Amino acid sequence: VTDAELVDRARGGDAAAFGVLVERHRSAVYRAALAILGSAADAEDVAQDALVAAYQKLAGFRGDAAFKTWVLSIAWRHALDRRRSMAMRLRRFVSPDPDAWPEAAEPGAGPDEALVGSEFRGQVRRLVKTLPAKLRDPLLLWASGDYTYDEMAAVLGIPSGTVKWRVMEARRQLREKLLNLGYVAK
Amino acid sequence: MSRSDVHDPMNDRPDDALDVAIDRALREITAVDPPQRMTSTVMARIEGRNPRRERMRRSWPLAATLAAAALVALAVGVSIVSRGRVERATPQTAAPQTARPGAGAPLAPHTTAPMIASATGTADAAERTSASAHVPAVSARAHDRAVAAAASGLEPAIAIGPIAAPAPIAIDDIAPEAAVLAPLGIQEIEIEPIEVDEVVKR
Repeated sequence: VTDAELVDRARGGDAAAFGVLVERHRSAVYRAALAILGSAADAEDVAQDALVAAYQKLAGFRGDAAFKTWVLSIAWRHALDRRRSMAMRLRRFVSPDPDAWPEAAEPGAGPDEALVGSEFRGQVRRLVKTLPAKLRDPLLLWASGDYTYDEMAAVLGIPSGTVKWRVMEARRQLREKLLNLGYVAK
Repeated sequence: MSRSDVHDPMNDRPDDALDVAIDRALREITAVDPPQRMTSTVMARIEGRNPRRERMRRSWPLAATLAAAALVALAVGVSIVSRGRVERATPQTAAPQTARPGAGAPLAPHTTAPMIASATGTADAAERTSASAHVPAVSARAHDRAVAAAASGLEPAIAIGPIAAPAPIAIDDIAPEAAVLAPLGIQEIEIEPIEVDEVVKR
């Protein structure tokens, strides 16, 4: 069943059809929110709010873009609002979120590899946070692998070529910072 | 869509080991799955059930009990503190008004006008008179006159106090004067209210 068919059924009052859409896209929505907010708890809140808002606005969805792009745009706006909110800034300042950037499992790694990998990931995570938002957001969206450049361009509201340049620039800056820290390119 | 489909096409430099490591780290950082409950929570909200509100509704008796317990604890604490203050304050007010450095500042009882303050001196006054000497409340002007009379050699010094009722003075305000009176041989100042006629008769 395509997204468009599920949207039609959901518009007709079939809540279960919307449930399938939620299940299908919740990861992409959540990761987009996480890319902006850097906090698992905030990302979950925003993803839920965005999906509920999407259901409430379903009548206004014209189908010009894919449902995924549309719901991602909603989530993106919600996440940006949250990031701009004074409450979130204060909370970050007062007590860093312990759930921020939850560790993903590293399949098949031995203890030593896991330790080295974990340290390297920690450095990358820290350096990503130092990037300006306009480079960091597209980089994290790109890194998640959930979105095409066109989807990212639609969500970010910038041309696709600009998205590509920003991703490339973010990777270049990240690489330079790591080289300065003593990591070598073999 | 795989990640290679969105790999940077503008990068003409072939990826080296560091690039690969960076990309892998980024992938691991971002490959975080949302909690499983998200779909059910969203659907519950869509169907008009707010799980948060329901949880709060279920837990309100516990919250009310805790709040009541906190209130009782607060009331007990306030009661203990206030009782302690009263117990500390009682001995001060019950004891004779003794000038003590750093002591509280109870107001002296109003004295009636006119007043006579007599200053008497003894040989061992300097030894016995200290900052903790017994100094009753006295009007400032009467006190000054007594000091002046004692200094001028009058023995005993007699000074007629002011006609108007003096303003109450805190013991602490007078206490430092004990150090002034001691070298003069004044042990204590007694105040006795008398009628103006008596002064004339004397």
